[in-house]
Amino acid sequence: MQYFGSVLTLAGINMIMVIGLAVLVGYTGLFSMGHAGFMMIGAYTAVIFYKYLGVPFAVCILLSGVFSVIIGLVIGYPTMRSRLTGDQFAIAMMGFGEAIRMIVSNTEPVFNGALGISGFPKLTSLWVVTLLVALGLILMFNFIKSAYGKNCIAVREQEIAAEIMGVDIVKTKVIALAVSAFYVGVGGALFAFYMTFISPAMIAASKSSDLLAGVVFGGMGSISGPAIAGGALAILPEILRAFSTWRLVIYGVLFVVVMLFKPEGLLGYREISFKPVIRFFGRLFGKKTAAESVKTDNRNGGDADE
Amino acid sequence: MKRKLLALLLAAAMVLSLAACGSKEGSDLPGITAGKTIKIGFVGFLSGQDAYLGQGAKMALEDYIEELNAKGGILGKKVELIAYDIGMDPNTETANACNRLIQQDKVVAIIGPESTEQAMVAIPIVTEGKVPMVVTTASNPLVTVAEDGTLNKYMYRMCFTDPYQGTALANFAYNDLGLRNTAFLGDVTNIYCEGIQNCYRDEFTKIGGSIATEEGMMASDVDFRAQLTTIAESGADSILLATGSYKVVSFVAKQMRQLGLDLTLLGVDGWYANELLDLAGPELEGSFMTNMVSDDDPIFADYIEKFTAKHPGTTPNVYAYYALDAMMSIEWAINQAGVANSTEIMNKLETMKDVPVFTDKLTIEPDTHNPHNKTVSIIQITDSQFKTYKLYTPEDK
Repeated sequence: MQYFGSVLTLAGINMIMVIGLAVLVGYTGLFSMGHAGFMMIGAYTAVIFYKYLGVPFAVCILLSGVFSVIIGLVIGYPTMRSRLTGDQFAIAMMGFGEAIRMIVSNTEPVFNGALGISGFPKLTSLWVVTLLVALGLILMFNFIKSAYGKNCIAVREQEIAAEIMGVDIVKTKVIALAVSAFYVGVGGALFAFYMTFISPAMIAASKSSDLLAGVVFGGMGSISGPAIAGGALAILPEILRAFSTWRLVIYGVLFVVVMLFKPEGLLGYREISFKPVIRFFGRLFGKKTAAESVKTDNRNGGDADE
Repeated sequence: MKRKLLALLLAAAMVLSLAACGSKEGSDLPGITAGKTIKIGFVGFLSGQDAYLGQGAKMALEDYIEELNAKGGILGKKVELIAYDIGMDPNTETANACNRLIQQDKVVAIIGPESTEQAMVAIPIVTEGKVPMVVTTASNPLVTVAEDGTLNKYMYRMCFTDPYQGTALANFAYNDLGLRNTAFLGDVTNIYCEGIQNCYRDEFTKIGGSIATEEGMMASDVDFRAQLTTIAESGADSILLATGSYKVVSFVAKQMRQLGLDLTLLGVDGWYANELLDLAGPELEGSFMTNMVSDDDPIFADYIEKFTAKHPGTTPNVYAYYALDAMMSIEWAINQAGVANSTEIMNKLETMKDVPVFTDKLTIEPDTHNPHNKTVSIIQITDSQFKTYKLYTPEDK
């Protein structure tokens, strides 16, 4: 059943990247067409540290996130300073993504140009990905609930009003970009270590729009929505294999249909609630857990209103 | 916190239940042994903008297998082709498709993919699954021999490698055409292009030529006038256009004529598509290219006629020929082994020596899994047709 494992692993990697992008696109309202650039940075960082410097895999994954954040800050601060909004920012990021790809493609030493880097083992397993998806989701939910997360929503809804209320717009946007860069960078590293080969052409510009599609498809003010969409969009082409060459058409039509009938995305501004599950287990395990779950329920309820 | 733990546990339980489903094959040979039918996998571009790579190959394979089954199949067993498309997101889809072919469909061998990147992705999967993969046109040396020199046992290749082609073209340009100063126009983000350019540069400068300038482009570009102007100013006498996209070739050829540039255009096997001649036949007049086959050879005429009659509006291309080569090699290996087992096929493929396959007689080098001394066809485009100019066969060193 390695086949299902493989599909789920790739779906998980996609989930990590899509929930990362959801903070920027969904919560802060900044469209990005260049997050494949961060994926590339993450992938190459991890591979280079692992292969040439002998750094352990877990540390490589972390480093790939950290490097993406650093580059994200370098590109993010000037663009936010100069108040690039909406389309301008999306296009700036598109340029960034392409620039990263060109730099990697044309750097012969270390990066090995278009030939890419091979000769490292397959270290990404379903276990690692499952663990990181869970960890990523927990951290992301906490981030959204934190003051930073609320600032992001404020910036998305009414930038000027948020500024009047004392929200540091530039800082908020840069933080959102950094968080998304971290997630996408980690996703890139996992991708590289699953493919055991990395070259610039593997992370094409279309990857950026795939990720963006995941966020829009899942819902623009939700984490669980994009998480589900990110996984589903990776699995869907495999399910559609039965339709052979028509599957791309069906894939496209499904997209149009969902956007027509549910323009706010699968979950819109809602989150998946664990209420029924918690209640069920609460009843099973007695009163104490039930009381606890009521408390968390209230927190969840608060979220849904946003 | 408990809620989160619960979620984690649930996820873990799901994964475990999936892992527990795995079952063992009931054969004493390692790898996969065919059951009632011999299943052969095919992985390639069947949709998207690169669909011309795989569609012809799939049709050719289906036709061949139909004929084979009519004659009784291999070892008395029917053969079945299972083809999967990777046109949407090639790399991840290759991983998924290969896993599916091995784990679900239990194929004994896989044919394809066409490009190096996807072949690289497939290496660990077929090695782990112990199923040989015969790539058709993925020409980078790394596909069969890893960076550290170890052989990828389960990978075989039907075409010649990039160095082989680049070296042949450089020699031909210098010795036969008398060219001394070549300019490159290529997509440096493409492995195939960079591989050929590097080998051409090494060989051409070694024998006395020089590289005038190296201009970059992207496969999605449609305007090359800026680069062509720079090339014109560099004093080059020829342009090497190493691209796998015939559309790019047609644009470059047309824009060269518009700019009045009269340089020899040197091409590679990636040009080889009949669509190219429809787009820019007259503009390409007199250009030279290396190719894997010369199908203006009369021996191909019958086949092409038969193919076009069966599939109106299509002509077989080099990807189809090489897929047939791969299929015939696998057939030969199964017959030699006497059993349709994936590891046995892998072992037998290595011993191929002057085995007649579709395009040529095939000898596989056991230490590289590449074809040995494969003939390079030098093709000239004359009267809007690909015409074989010369055959170049390297000699044993």
